[in-house]
Amino acid sequence: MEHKNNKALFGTGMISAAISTLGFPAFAFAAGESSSTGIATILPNVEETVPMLIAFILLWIILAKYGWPAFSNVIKKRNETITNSLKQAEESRQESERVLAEYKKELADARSEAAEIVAEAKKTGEATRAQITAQAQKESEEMIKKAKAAIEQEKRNAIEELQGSVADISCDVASKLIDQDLSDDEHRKIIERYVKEAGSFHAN
Amino acid sequence: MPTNRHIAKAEVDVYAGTLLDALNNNGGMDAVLEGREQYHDVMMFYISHDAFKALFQGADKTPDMRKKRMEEVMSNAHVRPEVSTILGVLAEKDSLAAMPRIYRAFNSLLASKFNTYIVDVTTRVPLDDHLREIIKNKVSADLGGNAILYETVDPHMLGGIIMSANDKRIDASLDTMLNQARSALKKTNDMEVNARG
Repeated sequence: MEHKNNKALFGTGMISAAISTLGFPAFAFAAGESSSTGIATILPNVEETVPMLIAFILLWIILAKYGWPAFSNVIKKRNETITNSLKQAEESRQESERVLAEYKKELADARSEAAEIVAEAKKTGEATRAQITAQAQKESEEMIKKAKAAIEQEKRNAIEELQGSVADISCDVASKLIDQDLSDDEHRKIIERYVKEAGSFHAN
Repeated sequence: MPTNRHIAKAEVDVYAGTLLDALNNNGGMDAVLEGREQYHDVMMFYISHDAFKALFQGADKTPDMRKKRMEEVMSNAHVRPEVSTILGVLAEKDSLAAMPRIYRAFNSLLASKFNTYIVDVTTRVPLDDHLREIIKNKVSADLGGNAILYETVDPHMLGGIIMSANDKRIDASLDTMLNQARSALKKTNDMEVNARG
Protein backbone atom coordinates (compact mmCIF):
# COMPACT_ATOMS: atom_id res chain seq x y z
CA MET A 1 0.00 0.00 0.00
CA GLU A 2 2.88 2.32 0.84
CA HIS A 3 4.36 1.54 -2.51
CA LYS A 4 1.08 2.48 -4.15
CA ASN A 5 1.02 5.88 -2.35
CA ASN A 6 4.56 6.66 -3.42
CA LYS A 7 3.59 5.87 -6.97
CA ALA A 8 0.63 8.29 -6.74
CA LEU A 9 2.83 11.02 -5.28
CA PHE A 10 5.36 10.59 -8.07
CA GLY A 11 2.56 10.81 -10.67
CA THR A 12 1.24 14.07 -9.20
CA GLY A 13 4.68 15.75 -9.32
CA MET A 14 5.17 14.74 -12.94
CA ILE A 15 1.80 16.20 -13.92
CA SER A 16 2.60 19.55 -12.21
CA ALA A 17 6.00 19.86 -13.97
CA ALA A 18 4.39 19.12 -17.32
CA ILE A 19 1.74 21.83 -16.82
CA SER A 20 4.27 24.49 -15.86
CA THR A 21 6.51 23.65 -18.81
CA LEU A 22 3.86 23.13 -21.44
CA GLY A 23 1.45 25.94 -20.17
CA PHE A 24 3.90 28.79 -20.07
CA PRO A 25 6.58 28.21 -22.75
CA ALA A 26 6.91 31.98 -23.53
CA PHE A 27 7.83 32.89 -19.95
CA ALA A 28 10.48 30.36 -19.98
CA PHE A 29 12.07 31.59 -23.15
CA ALA A 30 11.55 35.19 -22.08
CA ALA A 31 13.37 34.60 -18.83
CA GLY A 32 16.27 33.05 -20.66
CA GLU A 33 16.51 35.91 -23.14
CA SER A 34 15.97 39.10 -20.87
CA SER A 35 18.91 41.33 -20.07
CA SER A 36 18.16 44.16 -17.52
CA THR A 37 20.52 46.65 -16.08
CA GLY A 38 20.57 48.85 -12.91
CA ILE A 39 17.92 48.57 -10.26
CA ALA A 40 15.77 46.59 -12.62
CA THR A 41 18.16 43.82 -12.07
CA ILE A 42 17.01 43.18 -8.49
CA LEU A 43 13.29 44.18 -8.96
CA PRO A 44 10.76 41.47 -9.85
CA ASN A 45 9.71 41.35 -13.44
CA VAL A 46 5.93 41.50 -13.50
CA GLU A 47 5.77 39.70 -16.80
CA GLU A 48 7.60 36.80 -15.33
CA THR A 49 6.32 36.96 -11.78
CA VAL A 50 2.60 36.78 -12.45
CA PRO A 51 2.70 33.65 -14.64
CA MET A 52 5.08 32.10 -12.24
CA LEU A 53 2.82 33.00 -9.34
CA ILE A 54 -0.16 31.65 -11.20
CA ALA A 55 1.73 28.54 -12.06
CA PHE A 56 2.83 28.25 -8.47
CA ILE A 57 -0.69 28.67 -7.20
CA LEU A 58 -1.98 26.19 -9.67
CA LEU A 59 0.73 23.82 -8.71
CA TRP A 60 0.09 24.44 -5.06
CA ILE A 61 -3.64 23.82 -5.54
CA ILE A 62 -3.04 20.64 -7.51
CA LEU A 63 -0.55 19.50 -5.00
CA ALA A 64 -2.80 20.47 -2.10
CA LYS A 65 -5.72 18.71 -3.64
CA TYR A 66 -4.11 15.61 -4.99
CA GLY A 67 -0.55 15.38 -3.76
CA TRP A 68 -0.67 16.30 -0.16
CA PRO A 69 -3.56 14.02 0.85
CA ALA A 70 -1.83 11.14 -0.81
CA PHE A 71 1.44 12.12 0.74
CA SER A 72 -0.21 12.67 4.09
CA ASN A 73 -1.97 9.40 3.73
CA VAL A 74 1.27 7.69 2.92
CA ILE A 75 2.95 9.38 5.86
CA LYS A 76 0.08 8.45 8.10
CA LYS A 77 0.12 4.90 6.93
CA ARG A 78 3.81 4.84 7.22
CA ASN A 79 3.49 6.18 10.72
CA GLU A 80 0.95 3.58 11.57
CA THR A 81 3.08 0.92 10.07
CA ILE A 82 6.07 2.09 12.05
CA THR A 83 3.95 2.42 15.18
CA ASN A 84 2.56 -1.03 14.66
CA SER A 85 5.99 -2.33 13.94
CA LEU A 86 7.33 -0.67 17.03
CA LYS A 87 4.42 -2.00 19.00
CA GLN A 88 4.92 -5.43 17.58
CA ALA A 89 8.62 -5.11 18.17
CA GLU A 90 7.91 -4.07 21.74
CA GLU A 91 5.50 -6.92 22.16
CA SER A 92 7.98 -9.25 20.58
CA ARG A 93 10.67 -7.87 22.83
CA GLN A 94 8.43 -8.29 25.86
CA GLU A 95 7.46 -11.73 24.68
CA SER A 96 11.08 -12.50 24.10
CA GLU A 97 11.96 -11.19 27.52
CA ARG A 98 9.16 -13.23 29.04
CA VAL A 99 10.20 -16.29 27.12
CA LEU A 100 13.79 -15.57 28.02
CA ALA A 101 12.82 -15.15 31.65
CA GLU A 102 10.84 -18.36 31.50
CA TYR A 103 13.68 -20.05 29.76
CA LYS A 104 16.13 -18.71 32.35
CA LYS A 105 13.79 -19.78 35.10
CA GLU A 106 13.35 -23.19 33.55
CA LEU A 107 17.06 -23.38 33.00
CA ALA A 108 17.66 -22.42 36.61
CA ASP A 109 15.05 -24.92 37.72
CA ALA A 110 16.60 -27.53 35.50
CA ARG A 111 20.03 -26.74 36.87
CA SER A 112 18.70 -26.82 40.38
CA GLU A 113 16.88 -30.05 39.70
CA ALA A 114 19.95 -31.48 38.03
CA ALA A 115 22.02 -30.43 41.01
CA GLU A 116 19.52 -32.02 43.32
CA ILE A 117 19.49 -35.17 41.22
CA VAL A 118 23.25 -35.25 41.21
CA ALA A 119 23.34 -34.60 44.95
CA GLU A 120 20.70 -37.23 45.52
CA ALA A 121 22.49 -39.66 43.25
CA LYS A 122 25.72 -38.89 45.03
CA LYS A 123 24.06 -39.35 48.37
CA THR A 124 22.40 -42.56 47.24
CA GLY A 125 25.66 -43.73 45.77
CA GLU A 126 27.47 -42.98 48.99
CA ALA A 127 24.80 -44.76 51.01
CA THR A 128 24.80 -47.71 48.61
CA ARG A 129 28.56 -47.84 48.66
CA ALA A 130 28.57 -47.71 52.44
CA GLN A 131 25.88 -50.36 52.58
CA ILE A 132 27.68 -52.60 50.11
CA THR A 133 30.93 -52.09 51.96
CA ALA A 134 29.30 -52.87 55.29
CA GLN A 135 27.55 -55.89 53.83
CA ALA A 136 30.72 -57.13 52.22
CA GLN A 137 32.62 -56.61 55.44
CA LYS A 138 29.95 -58.41 57.41
CA GLU A 139 29.86 -61.30 54.96
CA SER A 140 33.61 -61.53 54.91
CA GLU A 141 33.68 -61.53 58.70
CA GLU A 142 31.06 -64.25 58.80
CA MET A 143 32.94 -66.26 56.22
CA ILE A 144 36.13 -65.89 58.19
CA LYS A 145 34.31 -66.82 61.36
CA LYS A 146 32.77 -69.89 59.74
CA ALA A 147 36.06 -70.85 58.19
CA LYS A 148 37.76 -70.51 61.55
CA ALA A 149 35.04 -72.59 63.21
CA ALA A 150 35.30 -75.22 60.47
CA ILE A 151 39.05 -75.28 60.78
CA GLU A 152 38.78 -75.52 64.54
CA GLN A 153 36.25 -78.33 64.26
CA GLU A 154 38.40 -80.16 61.73
CA LYS A 155 41.37 -79.71 63.99
CA ARG A 156 39.40 -80.98 66.94
CA ASN A 157 38.14 -83.95 64.95
CA ALA A 158 41.64 -84.70 63.78
CA ILE A 159 42.97 -84.52 67.34
CA GLU A 160 40.12 -86.67 68.62
CA GLU A 161 40.66 -89.15 65.84
CA LEU A 162 44.37 -89.17 66.45
CA GLN A 163 43.97 -89.57 70.19
CA GLY A 164 41.30 -92.21 69.64
CA SER A 165 43.71 -94.00 67.37
CA VAL A 166 46.41 -93.64 69.98
CA ALA A 167 44.08 -95.14 72.58
CA ASP A 168 43.15 -97.98 70.23
CA ILE A 169 46.74 -98.62 69.30
CA SER A 170 47.82 -98.52 72.94
CA CYS A 171 45.15 -101.01 73.93
CA ASP A 172 45.90 -103.19 70.92
CA VAL A 173 49.59 -103.18 71.78
CA ALA A 174 48.75 -104.02 75.37
CA SER A 175 46.48 -106.83 74.14
CA LYS A 176 49.23 -108.21 71.95
CA LEU A 177 51.75 -108.04 74.74
CA ILE A 178 49.42 -109.70 77.19
CA ASP A 179 48.40 -112.28 74.63
CA GLN A 180 51.95 -113.21 73.68
CA ASP A 181 54.10 -112.50 76.66
CA LEU A 182 52.12 -113.75 79.68
CA SER A 183 52.72 -117.30 80.79
CA ASP A 184 50.01 -119.50 82.29
CA ASP A 185 51.35 -118.89 85.78
CA GLU A 186 51.29 -115.15 85.23
CA HIS A 187 47.70 -115.47 84.02
CA ARG A 188 46.83 -117.39 87.16
CA LYS A 189 48.45 -114.74 89.35
CA ILE A 190 46.35 -112.12 87.61
CA ILE A 191 43.24 -114.25 88.13
CA GLU A 192 44.05 -114.65 91.82
CA ARG A 193 44.49 -110.91 92.25
CA TYR A 194 41.29 -110.12 90.38
CA VAL A 195 39.25 -112.67 92.37
CA LYS A 196 40.47 -111.10 95.60
CA GLU A 197 39.71 -107.59 94.34
CA ALA A 198 36.35 -108.50 92.73
CA GLY A 199 33.03 -107.36 94.16
CA SER A 200 30.60 -109.51 96.13
CA PHE A 201 28.25 -112.14 94.67
CA HIS A 202 25.45 -110.80 96.77
CA ALA A 203 22.78 -109.65 94.44
CA ASN A 204 22.14 -106.63 96.64
CA MET B 1 -5.25 -113.09 93.52
CA PRO B 2 -2.48 -114.53 91.37
CA THR B 3 -1.60 -112.66 88.23
CA ASN B 4 -0.33 -114.08 84.97
CA ARG B 5 3.20 -113.22 86.06
CA HIS B 6 2.77 -115.13 89.32
CA ILE B 7 1.28 -118.10 87.51
CA ALA B 8 4.14 -118.11 85.01
CA LYS B 9 6.70 -117.95 87.85
CA ALA B 10 4.96 -120.79 89.64
CA GLU B 11 5.07 -122.88 86.47
CA VAL B 12 8.76 -122.11 86.03
CA ASP B 13 9.43 -123.12 89.65
CA VAL B 14 7.51 -126.37 89.11
CA TYR B 15 9.60 -127.24 86.06
CA ALA B 16 12.85 -126.31 87.82
CA GLY B 17 11.92 -128.20 91.02
CA THR B 18 10.82 -131.28 89.09
CA LEU B 19 14.04 -131.36 87.11
CA LEU B 20 16.17 -130.83 90.20
CA ASP B 21 14.39 -133.53 92.20
CA ALA B 22 14.47 -136.00 89.33
CA LEU B 23 18.20 -135.50 88.77
CA ASN B 24 18.98 -135.65 92.47
CA ASN B 25 16.89 -138.79 92.95
CA ASN B 26 18.50 -140.55 90.02
CA GLY B 27 22.15 -139.70 90.66
CA GLY B 28 22.73 -137.26 93.44
CA MET B 29 24.75 -134.09 93.01
CA ASP B 30 26.75 -135.48 90.09
CA ALA B 31 23.57 -136.04 88.13
CA VAL B 32 22.33 -132.62 89.12
CA LEU B 33 25.47 -130.98 87.79
CA GLU B 34 25.51 -133.08 84.64
CA GLY B 35 21.85 -132.45 83.97
CA ARG B 36 22.28 -128.74 84.60
CA GLU B 37 25.17 -128.57 82.16
CA GLN B 38 23.26 -130.49 79.50
CA TYR B 39 20.20 -128.29 80.01
CA HIS B 40 22.41 -125.21 79.69
CA ASP B 41 23.93 -126.45 76.42
CA VAL B 42 20.54 -127.23 74.89
CA MET B 43 19.22 -123.85 76.01
CA MET B 44 22.12 -121.96 74.43
CA PHE B 45 21.80 -124.00 71.24
CA TYR B 46 18.09 -123.23 71.08
CA ILE B 47 18.69 -119.54 71.60
CA SER B 48 21.41 -119.27 68.97
CA HIS B 49 20.09 -121.58 66.24
CA ASP B 50 16.94 -120.59 64.38
CA ALA B 51 16.89 -123.88 62.50
CA PHE B 52 16.58 -125.71 65.79
CA LYS B 53 13.82 -123.35 66.87
CA ALA B 54 12.02 -123.94 63.59
CA LEU B 55 11.69 -127.64 64.39
CA PHE B 56 9.15 -126.75 67.05
CA GLN B 57 7.40 -123.79 65.53
CA GLY B 58 4.54 -123.54 63.07
CA ALA B 59 0.85 -124.29 63.02
CA ASP B 60 1.41 -127.58 61.20
CA LYS B 61 3.22 -129.06 64.22
CA THR B 62 0.95 -130.59 66.83
CA PRO B 63 1.98 -130.70 70.52
CA ASP B 64 2.53 -134.43 70.29
CA MET B 65 4.77 -133.97 67.23
CA ARG B 66 6.81 -131.34 69.02
CA LYS B 67 7.28 -133.50 72.09
CA LYS B 68 8.30 -136.59 70.12
CA ARG B 69 10.71 -134.53 68.01
CA MET B 70 12.38 -133.02 71.09
CA GLU B 71 12.75 -136.37 72.80
CA GLU B 72 14.16 -137.85 69.61
CA VAL B 73 16.75 -135.06 69.29
CA MET B 74 17.69 -135.34 72.97
CA SER B 75 18.04 -139.07 72.69
CA ASN B 76 20.40 -138.73 69.75
CA ALA B 77 22.41 -136.15 71.73
CA HIS B 78 22.65 -138.54 74.70
CA VAL B 79 21.03 -136.08 77.06
CA ARG B 80 19.92 -137.40 80.41
CA PRO B 81 16.31 -138.68 80.35
CA GLU B 82 15.24 -136.28 83.11
CA VAL B 83 16.35 -133.32 81.05
CA SER B 84 14.89 -134.81 77.88
CA THR B 85 11.53 -135.34 79.58
CA ILE B 86 11.33 -131.78 80.86
CA LEU B 87 12.33 -130.37 77.48
CA GLY B 88 9.76 -132.65 75.79
CA VAL B 89 7.02 -131.26 78.00
CA LEU B 90 8.17 -127.70 77.28
CA ALA B 91 8.08 -128.43 73.55
CA GLU B 92 4.65 -130.03 73.85
CA LYS B 93 3.30 -126.96 75.61
CA ASP B 94 5.14 -124.64 73.24
CA SER B 95 7.00 -123.12 76.21
CA LEU B 96 10.59 -123.55 75.09
CA ALA B 97 11.09 -119.77 75.35
CA ALA B 98 10.88 -120.20 79.15
CA MET B 99 14.11 -122.22 79.26
CA PRO B 100 16.33 -119.38 80.55
CA ARG B 101 13.92 -118.59 83.39
CA ILE B 102 13.75 -122.26 84.33
CA TYR B 103 17.55 -122.38 84.33
CA ARG B 104 17.76 -119.46 86.73
CA ALA B 105 15.06 -120.97 88.95
CA PHE B 106 16.97 -124.25 88.89
CA ASN B 107 20.10 -122.53 90.17
CA SER B 108 18.14 -120.73 92.87
CA LEU B 109 16.54 -123.96 94.00
CA LEU B 110 19.91 -125.65 94.03
CA ALA B 111 21.23 -122.92 96.28
CA SER B 112 18.24 -122.91 98.61
CA LYS B 113 17.71 -126.65 98.85
CA PHE B 114 21.28 -127.86 98.95
CA ASN B 115 23.00 -124.68 100.12
CA THR B 116 25.12 -125.05 97.03
CA TYR B 117 25.94 -122.46 94.42
CA ILE B 118 27.02 -123.25 90.92
CA VAL B 119 29.70 -120.83 89.86
CA ASP B 120 30.31 -120.52 86.15
CA VAL B 121 33.94 -119.59 85.73
CA THR B 122 35.51 -118.62 82.40
CA THR B 123 39.27 -118.15 82.11
CA ARG B 124 41.94 -118.19 79.46
CA VAL B 125 44.01 -120.82 81.23
CA PRO B 126 42.75 -123.81 83.21
CA LEU B 127 42.32 -123.22 86.95
CA ASP B 128 44.63 -124.92 89.36
CA ASP B 129 43.57 -126.15 92.78
CA HIS B 130 44.84 -123.06 94.48
CA LEU B 131 42.63 -120.83 92.36
CA ARG B 132 39.65 -123.13 92.81
CA GLU B 133 40.09 -122.91 96.55
CA ILE B 134 40.28 -119.11 96.42
CA ILE B 135 37.13 -118.86 94.29
CA LYS B 136 35.19 -121.29 96.49
CA ASN B 137 36.24 -119.38 99.57
CA LYS B 138 35.04 -116.16 98.02
CA VAL B 139 31.66 -117.68 97.13
CA SER B 140 31.30 -119.11 100.62
CA ALA B 141 32.20 -115.77 102.14
CA ASP B 142 29.80 -113.85 99.88
CA LEU B 143 26.84 -116.25 99.75
CA GLY B 144 27.34 -118.48 102.79
CA GLY B 145 27.13 -121.85 101.01
CA ASN B 146 29.10 -124.45 99.15
CA ALA B 147 30.42 -123.63 95.73
CA ILE B 148 30.61 -125.92 92.78
CA LEU B 149 32.68 -124.55 89.96
CA TYR B 150 31.61 -124.99 86.39
CA GLU B 151 34.81 -124.20 84.53
CA THR B 152 35.16 -123.06 80.93
CA VAL B 153 38.46 -122.32 79.25
CA ASP B 154 38.22 -119.71 76.49
CA PRO B 155 41.52 -119.35 74.60
CA HIS B 156 40.19 -116.26 72.80
CA MET B 157 39.98 -114.48 76.09
CA LEU B 158 42.88 -112.15 76.81
CA GLY B 159 43.14 -112.94 80.50
CA GLY B 160 41.50 -112.51 83.89
CA ILE B 161 38.29 -114.22 84.93
CA ILE B 162 34.53 -114.06 84.47
CA MET B 163 32.39 -115.52 87.26
CA SER B 164 28.61 -115.96 87.46
CA ALA B 165 26.69 -117.10 90.51
CA ASN B 166 23.42 -116.30 92.21
CA ASP B 167 22.27 -114.38 89.12
CA LYS B 168 25.24 -112.08 89.41
CA ARG B 169 28.08 -111.82 86.96
CA ILE B 170 31.51 -110.56 87.89
CA ASP B 171 33.56 -109.64 84.85
CA ALA B 172 37.21 -109.28 85.81
CA SER B 173 38.56 -110.14 82.39
CA LEU B 174 41.47 -108.25 80.84
CA ASP B 175 39.37 -107.77 77.71
CA THR B 176 36.78 -105.79 79.61
CA MET B 177 39.40 -103.85 81.52
CA LEU B 178 41.23 -102.90 78.34
CA ASN B 179 37.97 -101.81 76.73
CA GLN B 180 37.18 -99.72 79.79
CA ALA B 181 40.68 -98.22 79.63
CA ARG B 182 40.18 -97.51 75.92
CA SER B 183 36.87 -95.79 76.58
CA ALA B 184 38.32 -93.82 79.48
CA LEU B 185 41.27 -92.71 77.35
CA LYS B 186 39.00 -91.56 74.54
CA LYS B 187 36.67 -89.80 76.96
CA THR B 188 39.59 -88.03 78.63
CA ASN B 189 40.95 -87.03 75.26
CA ASP B 190 37.55 -85.68 74.19
CA MET B 191 37.33 -83.63 77.38
CA GLU B 192 40.84 -82.27 76.82
CA VAL B 193 40.04 -81.35 73.23
CA ASN B 194 36.81 -79.64 74.27
CA ALA B 195 38.63 -77.78 77.03
CA ARG B 196 41.19 -76.53 74.51
CA GLY B 197 38.49 -75.60 72.02
